[in-house]
Amino acid sequence: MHDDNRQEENDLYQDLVRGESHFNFIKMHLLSHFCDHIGQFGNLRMYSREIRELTHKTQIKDGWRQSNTNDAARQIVHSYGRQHAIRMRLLNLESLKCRDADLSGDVLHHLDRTDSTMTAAAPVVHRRVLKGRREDVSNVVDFSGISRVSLNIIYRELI
Amino acid sequence: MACLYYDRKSSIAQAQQPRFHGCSASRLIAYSSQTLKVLQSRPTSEENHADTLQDVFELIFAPLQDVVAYTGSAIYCADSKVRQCFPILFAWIADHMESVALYGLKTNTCPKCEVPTHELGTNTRSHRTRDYARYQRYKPENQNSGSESKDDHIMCHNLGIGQNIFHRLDRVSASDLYKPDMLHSIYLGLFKHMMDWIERFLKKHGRLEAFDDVSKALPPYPGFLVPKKAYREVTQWQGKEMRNLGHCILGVLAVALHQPGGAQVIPFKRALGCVRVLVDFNMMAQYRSHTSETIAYMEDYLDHFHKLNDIFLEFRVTKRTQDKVDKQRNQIRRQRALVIE
Repeated sequence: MHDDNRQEENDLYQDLVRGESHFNFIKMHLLSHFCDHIGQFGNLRMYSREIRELTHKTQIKDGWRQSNTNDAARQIVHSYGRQHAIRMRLLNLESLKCRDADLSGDVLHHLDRTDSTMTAAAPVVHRRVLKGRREDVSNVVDFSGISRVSLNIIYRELI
Repeated sequence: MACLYYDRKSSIAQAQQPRFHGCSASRLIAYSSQTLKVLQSRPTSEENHADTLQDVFELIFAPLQDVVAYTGSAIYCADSKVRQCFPILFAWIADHMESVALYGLKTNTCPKCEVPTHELGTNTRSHRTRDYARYQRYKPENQNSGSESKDDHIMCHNLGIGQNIFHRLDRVSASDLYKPDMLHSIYLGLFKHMMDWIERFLKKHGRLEAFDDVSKALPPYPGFLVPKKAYREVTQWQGKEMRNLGHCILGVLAVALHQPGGAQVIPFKRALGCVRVLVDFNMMAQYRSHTSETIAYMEDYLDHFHKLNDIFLEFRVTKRTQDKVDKQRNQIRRQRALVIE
């Protein structure tokens, strides 16, 4: 008698669960667009967001650490823009040097110095920076002084 | 090909160009985390949030608009020729929550077609494609005529707060910007759900140990990474690992479910069939080229899946359905008790 009751309860529960559950979630529906998409645009590409997710570190987190946390969004944008501009500038000078362009001695000296540090470890190896410690930005400031170009002009030219 | 990119968590937008001389060419265009966070903490923040998003993207798209509408731009091509090109936005890859924010929709809605929420799990494909320009045309009219019809409009298309940020772009159909994405919709979406169901299924039939043992004992093979841990021991799954799992799941499951007892034969068979169809669909979707035959196969697999998936129906219990079921069960018990008295 007791077992019968339990069995009945169990059946009731299963029925109710089956009645209430459904497969109405969005991932289920998105599959139905695959075939149409292939018909219209060709095969499905294997997109990867890996590179972009990785750049969170270089573009935002490092920028945050270099900022003084006061109005940080502006500083973060500027900080990355600055580094980007400098890196482009270095590449340009490097290629000019390869074509034997007329560069001043200071620039050549600086390029030689950065050669070993920057191009050897070309994608800069990012180690984890402890909170509060700042990355060394001395070579960046130094460089803009040497090439006698103010940072503003570099921005205007390159970004 | 240049890519634009928006991240919902940290509210950034980036442009990415091909890599050049080891210099990472991904460029930060806008970063608005601070403003968004401030706005989110206020009560009427969601509309402001949507407005900020709209403003940021208008700023980003402005150069694209000018170039497309009037002049085109001279672009250096790989064959060292310069051509007059008219760049347009072609695709926007994002996970579902991000695209929902960008398209201005409610959470459980498809960015591509007007499928109602209760039909998401059925296999009907005849829903009308979303026309975002039309939504925008109707919005101001309805605001004048009264709040009720506006609500109707929003309800019937599942529109959220804010508007689609792509609808003002020239020569771009916003609903075509959404592209199916294997990583988010299959590996991190469906496979994850499927593993959930399989786990509960195995638990119900007492085969969980066997499953773990088999998945640990897999031999290495070129192109296949041997999982070091059993499925249950891993807390977070990456896309690559999920893809790896897709390679071996069917074999592992077949071994784990061998020698079924008398009443288990039919459910085991159905579960295996269901998983097989999903894995096959995934394999077909990865093909580099398609014929009408392969597309027909894919549609077939999807149909089969919708026929077979009721074996996993009882494992699709969410918290909400659990609450509902408990309520109903209590009601029935009470009625029975009354009858007995």
